[in-house]
Amino acid sequence: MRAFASLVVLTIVTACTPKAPQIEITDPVIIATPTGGAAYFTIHNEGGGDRLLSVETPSIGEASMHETTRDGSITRMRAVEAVDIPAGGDIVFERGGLHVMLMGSTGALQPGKPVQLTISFERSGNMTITAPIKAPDAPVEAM
Amino acid sequence: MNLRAIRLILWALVGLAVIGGMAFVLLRQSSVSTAPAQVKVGAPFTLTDSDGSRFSSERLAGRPHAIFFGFTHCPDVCPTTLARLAKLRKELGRGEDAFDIVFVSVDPERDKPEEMARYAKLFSTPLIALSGSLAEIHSVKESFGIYSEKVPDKFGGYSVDHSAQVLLFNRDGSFAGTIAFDETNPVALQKLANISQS
Repeated sequence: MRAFASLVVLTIVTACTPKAPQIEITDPVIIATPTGGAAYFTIHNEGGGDRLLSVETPSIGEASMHETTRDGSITRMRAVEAVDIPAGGDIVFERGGLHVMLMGSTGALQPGKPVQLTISFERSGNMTITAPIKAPDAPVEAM
Repeated sequence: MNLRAIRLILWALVGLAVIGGMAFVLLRQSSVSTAPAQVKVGAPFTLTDSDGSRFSSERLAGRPHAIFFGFTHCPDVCPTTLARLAKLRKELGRGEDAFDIVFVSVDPERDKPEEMARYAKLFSTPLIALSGSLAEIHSVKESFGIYSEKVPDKFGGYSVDHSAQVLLFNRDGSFAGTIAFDETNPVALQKLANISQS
Protein backbone atom coordinates (compact mmCIF):
# COMPACT_ATOMS: atom_id res chain seq x y z
CA MET A 1 0.00 0.00 0.00
CA ARG A 2 2.84 2.37 0.95
CA ALA A 3 4.60 1.55 -2.31
CA PHE A 4 1.44 2.34 -4.24
CA ALA A 5 1.05 5.68 -2.41
CA SER A 6 4.69 6.56 -3.19
CA LEU A 7 4.11 5.76 -6.84
CA VAL A 8 1.04 8.01 -6.91
CA VAL A 9 2.96 10.86 -5.26
CA LEU A 10 5.88 10.38 -7.64
CA THR A 11 3.54 10.41 -10.62
CA ILE A 12 1.86 13.59 -9.45
CA VAL A 13 5.20 15.31 -8.76
CA THR A 14 6.54 14.28 -12.16
CA ALA A 15 3.39 15.47 -13.87
CA CYS A 16 3.53 18.85 -12.11
CA THR A 17 7.25 19.51 -12.59
CA PRO A 18 7.75 21.56 -15.73
CA LYS A 19 9.74 19.76 -18.38
CA ALA A 20 13.32 20.99 -18.44
CA PRO A 21 14.17 23.28 -21.35
CA GLN A 22 16.62 21.96 -23.95
CA ILE A 23 18.19 25.03 -25.43
CA GLU A 24 20.45 25.12 -28.45
CA ILE A 25 21.73 28.35 -29.98
CA THR A 26 22.67 28.34 -33.65
CA ASP A 27 23.67 30.71 -36.47
CA PRO A 28 25.29 33.41 -34.36
CA VAL A 29 26.61 36.43 -36.25
CA ILE A 30 27.56 39.97 -35.35
CA ILE A 31 27.18 42.74 -37.90
CA ALA A 32 29.75 45.37 -37.04
CA THR A 33 29.35 49.12 -37.40
CA PRO A 34 31.92 51.75 -36.35
CA THR A 35 30.19 52.37 -33.02
CA GLY A 36 29.23 48.81 -32.21
CA GLY A 37 26.92 46.50 -34.03
CA ALA A 38 24.14 43.99 -33.65
CA ALA A 39 24.22 40.31 -32.75
CA TYR A 40 21.81 37.81 -34.24
CA PHE A 41 21.22 34.12 -33.52
CA THR A 42 18.49 31.49 -33.31
CA ILE A 43 17.41 29.85 -30.07
CA HIS A 44 15.96 26.36 -30.49
CA ASN A 45 14.17 24.80 -27.56
CA GLU A 46 13.06 21.19 -27.64
CA GLY A 47 12.13 21.11 -23.94
CA GLY A 48 9.98 23.12 -21.55
CA GLY A 49 9.63 26.88 -21.57
CA ASP A 50 12.43 29.19 -20.47
CA ARG A 51 13.16 32.89 -20.37
CA LEU A 52 16.10 34.73 -21.90
CA LEU A 53 17.26 37.25 -19.33
CA SER A 54 20.36 38.90 -20.73
CA VAL A 55 23.18 38.79 -23.24
CA GLU A 56 26.63 40.03 -22.31
CA THR A 57 29.85 40.66 -24.19
CA PRO A 58 32.40 41.67 -21.56
CA SER A 59 35.16 41.97 -24.14
CA ILE A 60 33.30 44.56 -26.18
CA GLY A 61 31.26 46.74 -23.85
CA GLU A 62 27.56 47.25 -23.39
CA ALA A 63 25.11 44.78 -24.82
CA SER A 64 21.36 45.01 -24.61
CA MET A 65 18.46 43.23 -26.19
CA HIS A 66 16.38 45.36 -28.51
CA GLU A 67 13.53 44.90 -30.86
CA THR A 68 12.99 46.87 -34.02
CA THR A 69 9.33 47.42 -34.70
CA ARG A 70 7.71 49.03 -37.69
CA ASP A 71 4.69 51.25 -37.68
CA GLY A 72 4.02 51.94 -41.33
CA SER A 73 7.26 53.31 -42.69
CA ILE A 74 8.56 54.37 -39.27
CA THR A 75 10.98 52.09 -37.45
CA ARG A 76 11.48 52.17 -33.71
CA MET A 77 14.08 50.39 -31.62
CA ARG A 78 13.18 49.58 -28.03
CA ALA A 79 14.99 47.77 -25.23
CA VAL A 80 13.59 44.37 -24.35
CA GLU A 81 13.95 43.27 -20.71
CA ALA A 82 13.51 39.53 -21.29
CA VAL A 83 12.32 37.18 -23.99
CA ASP A 84 10.05 34.20 -23.29
CA ILE A 85 11.28 31.04 -24.96
CA PRO A 86 8.24 28.85 -25.60
CA ALA A 87 8.28 25.14 -24.87
CA GLY A 88 9.27 23.33 -28.02
CA GLY A 89 9.63 26.59 -29.93
CA ASP A 90 12.25 28.77 -31.61
CA ILE A 91 13.08 32.43 -31.10
CA VAL A 92 14.96 34.13 -33.89
CA PHE A 93 17.07 37.23 -33.43
CA GLU A 94 17.15 38.63 -36.96
CA ARG A 95 17.66 41.80 -38.98
CA GLY A 96 14.76 44.15 -38.57
CA GLY A 97 13.48 42.32 -35.47
CA LEU A 98 14.93 41.13 -32.17
CA HIS A 99 18.65 41.82 -31.91
CA VAL A 100 21.37 42.43 -29.36
CA MET A 101 22.69 45.95 -29.68
CA LEU A 102 26.41 46.18 -28.97
CA MET A 103 28.09 49.39 -28.03
CA GLY A 104 31.84 49.47 -27.76
CA SER A 105 34.72 51.78 -28.46
CA THR A 106 35.12 52.78 -32.08
CA GLY A 107 36.41 49.89 -34.13
CA ALA A 108 36.07 47.41 -31.24
CA LEU A 109 34.38 44.91 -33.52
CA GLN A 110 36.54 43.84 -36.43
CA PRO A 111 35.49 41.33 -39.07
CA GLY A 112 37.50 38.15 -38.64
CA LYS A 113 37.79 38.50 -34.86
CA PRO A 114 35.01 36.39 -33.29
CA VAL A 115 33.42 37.54 -30.04
CA GLN A 116 32.05 35.50 -27.16
CA LEU A 117 28.48 36.16 -26.09
CA THR A 118 27.22 34.96 -22.72
CA ILE A 119 23.51 34.31 -22.91
CA SER A 120 21.65 33.90 -19.61
CA PHE A 121 18.43 31.96 -19.22
CA GLU A 122 16.17 31.78 -16.19
CA ARG A 123 16.16 27.99 -16.08
CA SER A 124 19.03 26.89 -18.31
CA GLY A 125 21.61 29.21 -16.75
CA ASN A 126 24.44 30.75 -18.75
CA MET A 127 25.46 29.59 -22.19
CA THR A 128 28.46 30.96 -24.04
CA ILE A 129 28.63 31.06 -27.80
CA THR A 130 31.19 32.44 -30.21
CA ALA A 131 29.89 34.74 -32.93
CA PRO A 132 31.80 35.60 -36.10
CA ILE A 133 31.90 39.29 -36.99
CA LYS A 134 30.80 40.29 -40.44
CA ALA A 135 30.47 43.53 -42.34
CA PRO A 136 26.94 44.80 -43.08
CA ASP A 137 27.22 43.75 -46.70
CA ALA A 138 27.44 40.10 -45.69
CA PRO A 139 24.58 38.18 -47.35
CA VAL A 140 21.13 39.15 -46.06
CA GLU A 141 19.39 35.80 -45.83
CA ALA A 142 16.27 37.23 -44.19
CA MET A 143 15.01 39.01 -47.30
CA MET B 1 -2.74 64.74 -25.84
CA ASN B 2 0.89 65.64 -25.44
CA LEU B 3 3.14 67.36 -27.95
CA ARG B 4 4.77 64.10 -28.98
CA ALA B 5 1.46 62.54 -29.85
CA ILE B 6 0.46 65.60 -31.87
CA ARG B 7 3.79 65.51 -33.67
CA LEU B 8 3.36 61.82 -34.44
CA ILE B 9 -0.11 62.41 -35.83
CA LEU B 10 1.12 65.28 -37.99
CA TRP B 11 3.95 63.15 -39.38
CA ALA B 12 1.50 60.32 -39.98
CA LEU B 13 -0.62 62.78 -42.00
CA VAL B 14 2.47 63.81 -44.00
CA GLY B 15 3.17 60.11 -44.65
CA LEU B 16 -0.42 59.52 -45.73
CA ALA B 17 -0.25 62.50 -48.06
CA VAL B 18 2.92 61.10 -49.69
CA ILE B 19 1.38 57.63 -50.03
CA GLY B 20 -1.85 59.09 -51.37
CA GLY B 21 0.10 61.15 -53.86
CA MET B 22 2.07 58.13 -54.98
CA ALA B 23 -1.10 56.09 -55.40
CA PHE B 24 -2.57 58.93 -57.45
CA VAL B 25 0.46 59.03 -59.74
CA LEU B 26 0.55 55.27 -60.14
CA LEU B 27 -3.15 55.15 -60.96
CA ARG B 28 -2.76 57.98 -63.43
CA GLN B 29 0.20 56.28 -65.04
CA SER B 30 -1.70 53.05 -65.48
CA SER B 31 -4.77 54.65 -66.99
CA VAL B 32 -3.49 57.77 -68.70
CA SER B 33 -0.48 57.64 -70.92
CA THR B 34 0.06 61.34 -71.42
CA ALA B 35 1.73 63.71 -69.00
CA PRO B 36 1.19 61.97 -65.66
CA ALA B 37 0.90 64.24 -62.68
CA GLN B 38 4.11 64.38 -60.62
CA VAL B 39 4.30 64.13 -56.87
CA LYS B 40 6.69 66.64 -55.48
CA VAL B 41 8.91 64.98 -52.91
CA GLY B 42 12.02 66.78 -51.76
CA ALA B 43 13.44 70.16 -52.61
CA PRO B 44 16.90 71.42 -53.56
CA PHE B 45 19.27 71.19 -50.59
CA THR B 46 22.85 71.74 -49.56
CA LEU B 47 24.34 69.51 -46.86
CA THR B 48 27.83 68.42 -45.81
CA ASP B 49 29.52 65.48 -47.51
CA SER B 50 31.56 62.92 -45.58
CA ASP B 51 34.80 64.63 -46.64
CA GLY B 52 33.61 67.84 -45.01
CA SER B 53 32.85 69.64 -48.27
CA ARG B 54 29.46 71.10 -49.06
CA PHE B 55 27.20 68.94 -51.17
CA SER B 56 24.51 70.49 -53.32
CA SER B 57 21.62 68.37 -54.54
CA GLU B 58 22.44 69.76 -57.99
CA ARG B 59 25.10 67.06 -58.12
CA LEU B 60 22.28 64.50 -58.31
CA ALA B 61 20.81 66.17 -61.38
CA GLY B 62 20.63 63.77 -64.32
CA ARG B 63 21.41 60.81 -62.05
CA PRO B 64 18.90 58.24 -60.76
CA HIS B 65 19.23 58.05 -56.99
CA ALA B 66 17.94 56.27 -53.89
CA ILE B 67 17.85 58.30 -50.67
CA PHE B 68 17.76 56.70 -47.23
CA PHE B 69 17.52 58.63 -43.97
CA GLY B 70 19.15 56.97 -40.96
CA PHE B 71 21.97 57.41 -38.42
CA THR B 72 25.34 55.84 -37.74
CA HIS B 73 24.48 54.58 -34.23
CA CYS B 74 21.68 52.52 -35.81
CA PRO B 75 22.89 48.90 -35.63
CA ASP B 76 20.04 47.07 -37.33
CA VAL B 77 17.76 48.69 -39.91
CA CYS B 78 20.25 51.22 -41.32
CA PRO B 79 23.18 48.92 -42.14
CA THR B 80 20.73 46.29 -43.39
CA THR B 81 19.02 48.77 -45.73
CA LEU B 82 22.23 50.32 -47.06
CA ALA B 83 23.86 46.91 -47.53
CA ARG B 84 20.79 45.78 -49.43
CA LEU B 85 20.94 48.80 -51.76
CA ALA B 86 24.64 48.13 -52.36
CA LYS B 87 23.97 44.45 -53.05
CA LEU B 88 21.07 45.16 -55.42
CA ARG B 89 23.09 47.76 -57.31
CA LYS B 90 25.72 45.11 -57.86
CA GLU B 91 23.04 42.64 -58.98
CA LEU B 92 21.75 45.10 -61.57
CA GLY B 93 25.10 44.73 -63.30
CA ARG B 94 25.17 48.31 -64.59
CA GLY B 95 27.99 49.49 -62.37
CA GLU B 96 27.94 52.24 -59.80
CA ASP B 97 26.31 54.69 -62.21
CA ALA B 98 23.09 52.62 -62.21
CA PHE B 99 21.89 54.85 -59.39
CA ASP B 100 23.45 56.84 -56.56
CA ILE B 101 22.95 55.67 -52.99
CA VAL B 102 22.45 58.69 -50.74
CA PHE B 103 22.50 58.28 -46.96
CA VAL B 104 21.28 61.32 -45.00
CA SER B 105 21.72 61.44 -41.22
CA VAL B 106 18.73 62.16 -39.02
CA ASP B 107 21.16 62.47 -36.09
CA PRO B 108 23.29 65.50 -36.99
CA GLU B 109 24.35 66.00 -33.36
CA ARG B 110 26.43 62.80 -33.38
CA ASP B 111 26.93 62.26 -37.09
CA LYS B 112 29.70 64.57 -38.15
CA PRO B 113 31.46 64.05 -41.52
CA GLU B 114 34.08 61.75 -39.92
CA GLU B 115 31.41 59.43 -38.51
CA MET B 116 29.58 59.45 -41.83
CA ALA B 117 32.82 58.61 -43.67
CA ARG B 118 33.57 55.68 -41.34
CA TYR B 119 30.04 54.37 -41.71
CA ALA B 120 30.03 54.74 -45.51
CA LYS B 121 33.21 52.66 -45.73
CA LEU B 122 31.34 49.65 -44.32
CA PHE B 123 29.59 49.03 -47.59
CA SER B 124 32.55 48.62 -49.96
CA THR B 125 30.81 50.64 -52.66
CA PRO B 126 30.58 54.39 -53.22
CA LEU B 127 27.92 55.94 -51.03
CA ILE B 128 27.04 59.62 -50.68
CA ALA B 129 26.84 60.14 -46.89
CA LEU B 130 25.45 63.51 -45.88
CA SER B 131 25.05 65.32 -42.61
CA GLY B 132 24.56 68.94 -41.73
CA SER B 133 23.40 71.37 -39.10
CA LEU B 134 20.26 70.65 -37.12
CA ALA B 135 18.40 73.29 -39.12
CA GLU B 136 19.60 71.94 -42.47
CA ILE B 137 18.65 68.37 -41.61
CA HIS B 138 15.28 69.52 -40.27
CA SER B 139 14.55 71.32 -43.51
CA VAL B 140 15.61 68.36 -45.69
CA LYS B 141 13.56 65.92 -43.61
CA GLU B 142 10.54 68.16 -43.93
CA SER B 143 10.80 68.50 -47.69
CA PHE B 144 11.18 64.73 -48.13
CA GLY B 145 8.38 63.89 -45.67
CA ILE B 146 10.72 62.11 -43.24
CA TYR B 147 9.88 61.67 -39.57
CA SER B 148 12.50 61.25 -36.86
CA GLU B 149 12.56 61.61 -33.12
CA LYS B 150 15.21 61.06 -30.46
CA VAL B 151 14.31 58.45 -27.84
CA PRO B 152 16.41 58.12 -24.64
CA ASP B 153 17.93 54.70 -23.95
CA LYS B 154 18.88 53.08 -20.64
CA PHE B 155 22.57 53.87 -21.08
CA GLY B 156 22.01 57.62 -20.91
CA GLY B 157 22.26 57.94 -24.66
CA TYR B 158 19.52 57.84 -27.22
CA SER B 159 18.22 56.07 -30.25
CA VAL B 160 16.33 57.67 -33.10
CA ASP B 161 12.95 56.53 -34.36
CA HIS B 162 12.77 57.34 -38.04
CA SER B 163 11.10 56.77 -41.38
CA ALA B 164 12.98 53.88 -42.95
CA GLN B 165 11.65 53.71 -46.48
CA VAL B 166 14.07 54.30 -49.34
CA LEU B 167 12.98 57.18 -51.58
CA LEU B 168 13.57 56.63 -55.29
CA PHE B 169 14.17 59.32 -57.88
CA ASN B 170 14.35 59.06 -61.65
CA ARG B 171 17.13 60.53 -63.77
CA ASP B 172 15.03 63.66 -64.35
CA GLY B 173 14.68 64.16 -60.60
CA SER B 174 11.05 63.10 -60.43
CA PHE B 175 9.91 60.99 -57.49
CA ALA B 176 9.58 57.30 -58.42
CA GLY B 177 8.15 55.79 -55.24
CA THR B 178 9.69 54.01 -52.28
CA ILE B 179 11.16 50.71 -51.15
CA ALA B 180 9.85 49.60 -47.76
CA PHE B 181 12.03 47.61 -45.37
CA ASP B 182 9.75 44.58 -45.69
CA GLU B 183 9.68 44.53 -49.47
CA THR B 184 11.33 41.51 -51.04
CA ASN B 185 14.56 41.80 -52.97
CA PRO B 186 12.99 40.96 -56.37
CA VAL B 187 10.46 43.79 -55.98
CA ALA B 188 13.13 46.20 -54.77
CA LEU B 189 15.42 45.18 -57.64
CA GLN B 190 12.70 45.89 -60.21
CA LYS B 191 12.11 49.35 -58.76
CA LEU B 192 15.82 50.10 -58.85
CA ALA B 193 16.05 48.78 -62.41
CA ASN B 194 13.23 51.15 -63.35
CA ILE B 195 14.97 54.26 -62.03
CA SER B 196 18.30 53.22 -63.45
CA GLN B 197 16.69 52.98 -66.91
CA SER B 198 14.73 56.22 -66.53
